[in-house]
Amino acid sequence: MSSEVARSKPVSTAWLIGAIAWAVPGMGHIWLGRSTRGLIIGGTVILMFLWGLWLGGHLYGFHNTPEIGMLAYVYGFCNLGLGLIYAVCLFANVGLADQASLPTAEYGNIFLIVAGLLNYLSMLDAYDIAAGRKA
Amino acid sequence: MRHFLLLATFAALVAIAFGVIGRETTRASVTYGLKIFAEFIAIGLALAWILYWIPL
Repeated sequence: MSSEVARSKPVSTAWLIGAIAWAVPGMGHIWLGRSTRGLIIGGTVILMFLWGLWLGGHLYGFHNTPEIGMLAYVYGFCNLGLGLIYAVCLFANVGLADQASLPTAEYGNIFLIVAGLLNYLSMLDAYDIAAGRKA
Repeated sequence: MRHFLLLATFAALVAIAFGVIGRETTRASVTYGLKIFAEFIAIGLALAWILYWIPL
């Protein structure tokens, strides 16, 4: 048995770590003992999210919107990558209002979308490390 | 100018995340991150220059 396989965690643990990484940006890596990497990734995702809100961006839900129709589902899926941040915003009604009158609102939307996508990437990275696919 | 600063901010944040996730060692991460950042800026400027001449 190779050392890589011997180092890997059980599949259920890898899934759990993936879920944790999705829920709290950077926490999956911290859980795996890679604190520096986790803090940098988590900080980047959270900073991007806050910057997006500051620019006037808004989070998309899973429903059609008159402006972009079905594309809102895609954006909603991207925003869902923010994990618990997305859930808290939904419950607290923060960052949901469309502020299209602001000149930077579209930039803000992109920042929020990409923040979610980066967290998905971080989640997959944490899963790969936990499953022993990556050193 | 403000648009360019937003582009640079976006590029920097994405480059940091890509650099940390995409490479293992610190040196390789920094090099890769800088490369991603430079590519974002260069492609962004190139697209802006091209789109300037297209009447939309």
